[in-house]
Amino acid sequence: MEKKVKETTKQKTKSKPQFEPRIVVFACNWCSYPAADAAGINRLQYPANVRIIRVMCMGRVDPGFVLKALVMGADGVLVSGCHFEDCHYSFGARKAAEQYKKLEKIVHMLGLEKERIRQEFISAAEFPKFAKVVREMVEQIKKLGPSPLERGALYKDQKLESEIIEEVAPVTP
Amino acid sequence: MQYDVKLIQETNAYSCIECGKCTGACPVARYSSTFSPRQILTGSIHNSHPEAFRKADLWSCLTCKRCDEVCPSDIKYIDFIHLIRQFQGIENREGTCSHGGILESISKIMMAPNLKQQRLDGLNGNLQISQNSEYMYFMGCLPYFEVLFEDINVEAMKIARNTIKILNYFDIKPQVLSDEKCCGHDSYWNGDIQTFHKLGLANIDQIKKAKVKKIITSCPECYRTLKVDYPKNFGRQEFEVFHISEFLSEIIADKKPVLKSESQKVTFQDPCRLGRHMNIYEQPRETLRSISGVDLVEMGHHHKRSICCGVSGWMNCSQVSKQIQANRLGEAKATGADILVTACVKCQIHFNCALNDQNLGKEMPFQVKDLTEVVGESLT
Amino acid sequence: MMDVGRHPNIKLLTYSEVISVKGKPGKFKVKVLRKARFVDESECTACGECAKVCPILEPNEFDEGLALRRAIFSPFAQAVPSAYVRYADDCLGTNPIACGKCMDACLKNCIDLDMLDEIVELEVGAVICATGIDYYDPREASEYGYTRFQNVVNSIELERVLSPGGPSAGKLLRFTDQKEPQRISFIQCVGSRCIHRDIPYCSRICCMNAMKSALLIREINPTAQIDIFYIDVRAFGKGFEQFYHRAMHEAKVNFVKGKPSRIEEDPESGDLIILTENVETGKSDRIRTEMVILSEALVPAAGSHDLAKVLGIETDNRGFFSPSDPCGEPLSSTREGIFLCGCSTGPKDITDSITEASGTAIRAAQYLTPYKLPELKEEIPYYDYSGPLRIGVFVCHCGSNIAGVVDVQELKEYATELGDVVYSDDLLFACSESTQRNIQEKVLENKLNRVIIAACTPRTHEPIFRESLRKIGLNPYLFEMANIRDHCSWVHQNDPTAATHKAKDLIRMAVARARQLEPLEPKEMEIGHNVLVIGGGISGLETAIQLARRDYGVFIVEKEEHLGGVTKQLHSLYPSAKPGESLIQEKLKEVYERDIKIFTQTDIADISGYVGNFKVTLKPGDGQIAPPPLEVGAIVLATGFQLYQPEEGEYGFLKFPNVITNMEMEKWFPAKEKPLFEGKPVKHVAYMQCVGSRGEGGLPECSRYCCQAAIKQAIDLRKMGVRVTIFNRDIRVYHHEAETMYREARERGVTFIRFTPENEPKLIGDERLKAIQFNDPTLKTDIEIPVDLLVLSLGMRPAAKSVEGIQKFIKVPLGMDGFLLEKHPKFGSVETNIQGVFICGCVQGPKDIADSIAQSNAVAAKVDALLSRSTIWMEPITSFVQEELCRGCGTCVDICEYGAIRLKDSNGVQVAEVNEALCEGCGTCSTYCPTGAIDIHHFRDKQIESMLEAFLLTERSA
Ligand code: SF4
Ligand code: SF4
Ligand code: FES
Repeated sequence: MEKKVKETTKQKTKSKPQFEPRIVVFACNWCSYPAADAAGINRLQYPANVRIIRVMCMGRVDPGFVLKALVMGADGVLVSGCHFEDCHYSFGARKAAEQYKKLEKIVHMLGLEKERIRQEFISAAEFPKFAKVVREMVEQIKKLGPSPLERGALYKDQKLESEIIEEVAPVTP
Repeated sequence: MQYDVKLIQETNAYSCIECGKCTGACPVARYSSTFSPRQILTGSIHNSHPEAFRKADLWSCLTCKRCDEVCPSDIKYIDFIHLIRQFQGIENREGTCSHGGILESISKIMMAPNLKQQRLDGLNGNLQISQNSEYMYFMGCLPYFEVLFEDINVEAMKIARNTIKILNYFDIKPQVLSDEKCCGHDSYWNGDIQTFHKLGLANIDQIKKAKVKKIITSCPECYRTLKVDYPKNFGRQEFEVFHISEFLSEIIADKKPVLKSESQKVTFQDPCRLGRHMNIYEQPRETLRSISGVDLVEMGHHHKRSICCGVSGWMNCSQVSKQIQANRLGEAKATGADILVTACVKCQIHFNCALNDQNLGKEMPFQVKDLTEVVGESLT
Repeated sequence: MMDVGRHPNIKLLTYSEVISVKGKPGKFKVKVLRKARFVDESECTACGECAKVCPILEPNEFDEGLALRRAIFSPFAQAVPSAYVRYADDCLGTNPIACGKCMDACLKNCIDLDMLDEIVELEVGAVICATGIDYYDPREASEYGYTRFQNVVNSIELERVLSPGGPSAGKLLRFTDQKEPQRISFIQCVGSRCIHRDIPYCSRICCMNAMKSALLIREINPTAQIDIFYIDVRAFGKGFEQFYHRAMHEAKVNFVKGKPSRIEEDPESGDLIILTENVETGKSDRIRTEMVILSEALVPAAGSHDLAKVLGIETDNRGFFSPSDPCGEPLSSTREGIFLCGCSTGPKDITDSITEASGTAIRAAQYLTPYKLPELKEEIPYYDYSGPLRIGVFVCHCGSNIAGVVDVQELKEYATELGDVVYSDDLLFACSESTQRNIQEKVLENKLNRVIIAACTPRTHEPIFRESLRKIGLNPYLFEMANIRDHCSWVHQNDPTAATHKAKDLIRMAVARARQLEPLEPKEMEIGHNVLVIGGGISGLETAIQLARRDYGVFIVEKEEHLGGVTKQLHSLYPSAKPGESLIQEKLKEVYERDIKIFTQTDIADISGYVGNFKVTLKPGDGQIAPPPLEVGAIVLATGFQLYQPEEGEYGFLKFPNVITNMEMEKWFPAKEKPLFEGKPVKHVAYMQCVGSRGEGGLPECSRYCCQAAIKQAIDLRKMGVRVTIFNRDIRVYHHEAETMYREARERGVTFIRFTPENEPKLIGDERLKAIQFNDPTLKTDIEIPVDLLVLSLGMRPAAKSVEGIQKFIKVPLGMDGFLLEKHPKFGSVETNIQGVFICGCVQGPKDIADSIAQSNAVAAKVDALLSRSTIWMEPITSFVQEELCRGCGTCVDICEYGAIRLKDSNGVQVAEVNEALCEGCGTCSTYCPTGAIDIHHFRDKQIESMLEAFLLTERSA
């Protein structure tokens, strides 16, 4: 049985040049993370493109994290938490929504497609919504194609392009 | 990047006689017990003692150039800091990015060649811009600041609108790049030279295509970067760069327009990049004086001895920054001025942040305004 | 449910029945019949392998028979205990042909087909009945054709259908043609409020429930038209009136006053025709609709009569358990030591049920021996977890749950390639007892100082693993889980490659985070055992008594001269007709006996501190000496309400001398045989309801007490021969027995006139009010009735002054209605945002006496749960300030609604300081901090960023 799995693994990797988005999900400990768990318990199937990072509350999700994820080349970021009235800390979700508005404006200004980031309010009972949101997001981002941010190449310390250095001619101010 | 002795030598760093005058003049050292420009210098050139200074302190230097002014050995201290940061590399950076690193990420995202920004939404009204003027207004990161700092009552785009209004007043319909990148100033000074290069080249490319002769900036950081650091890194360029205060003082002297305001007492904050870095002290003052009704008074420290607004490069904003600001605002208060005028959006952001503090804000009976706003309001 | 299942002091006996209760309170002997479930509860991991092979299909009870289950099954996804159960009657195993497939499928061998029923004997101090409710069978109301017409469904079926996890995955389809209905009609009070169906009472939940479903339906189908046929709209709870407005305006629900008399079916289309009189227009209508939902009544749980016999307690004739005094003792049964909560005494919604449930907990606790549970101390060996990173990764198969999809061997090998990982292993069931020991050994053997278990969800299993690590001396916060089951193998069953790939990423991310983890120590804090109750009304007194019975030192602070609040002024209480004064006297007697310290005419001057350690300074009235500051472990706010003060001229208030408020009316009782008002005989009294309640847009809300209060007075007036007219907007008598009272009032000849805000009755008179003119809703003409006395039923408003006074010291947030905001509208109605600060009675929202008393018991239980220990452990996941970075801007101070942060002076500069006892660790402050000075333990910036880097910057594993 194990061997079989391995073989199919190989075959598949060969015949799959298709773009597989990499999506970061921030989920709060009290609503959306359990919703993702419940999606599992109910065996709802969704694409394997997401990686969930648990935080205590959506209020913890600094817009800086989302932008950093984008800089590192994430194809999409989902920020998910409780509905306002359900937030375990009562004000976290509301504050997160305020922060998210700013984030949206900035992402828009930067010229990134608005579909690359998404905020959702998903309660623990709404696990089908979790699966649905993931499915939608993967689909949308597949349509958009890979992030223009080159898979994190911009984040890493890479070599300077040689021409730049040659061009340098000291000029005194 | 490797530690390059030759480059360090160019900054004169090895001629330090360890007198400590810099530390005495340094605004950071005044409030931080650990911070010492001298120790950073000796600590990093004596490579054998890597622990000679607190690494985090390296990122606290404001590169405000106050020490350069007092150094008896003529060390180009801020260039030295720039190099050391560059050698450390951002992976080993121990400073803390303010505002969750958002601003750093923004400039990194701008490097992506195939992204087109949507940054001009804030330029509404009857402002006139064109595609073929020989003037270009280089706006800087104002649209982003507008979003990020509205909470502390900074309307950053006002600066852009006023600048264009002023230019229009003098019949200039400047070009404005719809996909202008961050000038790279912060990356440059934080030692992230790769980002600086990418951003700079992208800007130069666009400027070349726009075929402009004169670039006007309202931000002293863009001004310095475009005027000094671009040619130094990317070679000679075909255009001239002016800060709006330079432009204003010249054109006012020439055209003698009538500028009027209610009678108000103002004092002027010299932005480090404009004053000590670029030697522009008088132009903004002349501009202010030419407005009838404006009474310009000086703070305790002014011109070369002026004091920085407390943070640079969105890095290591801290208790110390706050104390520098509180002190500087205290000086402004002592002048009895109604308005603290500055010519840099970042000074405005940082001072406003301090003023937003419940306690400090109550004590300060004045507003912070940008030079362009004061001038914009005085146009008749 | 999870909490109950996990709690060390709770033993669950599910699938069991009580067969006898003998003995005395404090020492009952209870016999329980445990039916065999055929599955070993402690071993079953709910993997579901057994159900996969079971050949039997039966209708699933949980989904109201709308879906199927096996003979061995878990009733629903979140069932507790999570262990499966086998119904012997459905199974083939007990038939001649033994099947036994499930036994082969279970890898843990926990199925035992020979398990037998057993009788367990328990010794208990008290018994709590929370036997809940059943639904009325709408087939009895045959006029609505339930089961005759397929498109007539009951509300509980609708619930299941609308549930995203339900049989139709949240789609609403008609049963006849599987089409989405465009018009849906709810019929309220099916069974309820109907004497000849023997359900005279109101079922309380159905109005709100129908509105909630209506909103849900509109969410799924925004164009659907929804009707609700009702007798009265009873939206009486906190936030309900606003919800009603949402239903009216957002969901555009068509509310029709009128209870349909019949439903007919159009056999061709399956559509339904509702025959009804629209009471507002007076016209008979035939309304064609596509689906009908019956809001059926709630009836006592089956077997209630039998159980009552076993328990030796009384029931009413329907089978609801009777409280010993429905107003003053709503939670006690007629047998001492046996308590009642939730729907066992009558229909109730979740909020009220939970309140009562908590309330019974404190009553039961008073019978327990030992009074307080002993605290265990344990020895933890020393383990050195400092030094360079040594990470161990354990990958769990979870039987085949993970291993069936993901290549566990590959993961195990992959883990060793990651930096700092010195050990990796795979385990069949990481959570089983023996494996836990194995993990402990491996940690010690390999000197691991970070442990990662790649298995299921940390939400359920992190506490278990942390506990095992803690026992060997490894700091539990150096542990991390990678959720490769719930978030991976279970949701990517059809793509093993991608799943394995993802699992690798998840492990890599967990390792990256583990590198950044820091040991944290929960802090143990001494707590005080005194309680301060602010407010000496009925709620405050009841709370104080219940707590004093549990031996806490209790202080009551009251700003008035006397205790007893509003209740004292009531001449009689419904339904017992006992005077308010005598209820208060009873309570006061116990207050004095129990040595509760009372400070009257006293205000609060300052409150500082935090849970377990509050310091309260009092401000005594003039001429009194200030007592020393009180040190208390918890604070209960029971400052009550304030009556709405009508504006001058509003319904003739202050304009006519014979217009008075309902409180003045209370004082006017008891009147003589021939009632006089200001010397003039009173022949006709009118009541104006909802004065200062049920405003525009639902604010202020329904005040909840006034209908029943007016009816109570009306009956008394009728007994004196006075004519009574009650002008109302809806009659909201929701209490179990209040409906009977309403009926009595009608029988006695009280007239009820309904009006709408657009069509208010007019007052006629010059000096005095002479008559009231109104537009009769039935006759559609203006009618004038003579009135000698008009009583305004004033709404309850937040006691703004006392609330403000308290808010100065503790940041308990206010709701939109101006009442103090509870922690959670359903599950935390007596707790506040701030640990150690509780609310009860009318500070939280309008309430009558019985509800206030129930809530006071609940609050006492919550306080008891908090203070019954000598110390409390503080969760170390809190924020902390790196002082050198803090610029003292105060942003975080404003953000944190727990008031956990304040600015302090440090060498002449302001810096933020976190009070760990108040911080709940949400982390919101840190996202707002401009400098990055404030960070959250265990969810630090660098810990989160390290996961991003691990996922995004490391090239995908080859
Ligand atoms: S983490 Fe949340 S609760 Fe704690 S101080 Fe910050 S905002 Fe308040
Ligand atoms: S927000 Fe940050 S800088 Fe401001 S007071 Fe709080 S911790 Fe200090
Ligand atoms: S706890 Fe879920 S968003 Fe706050």
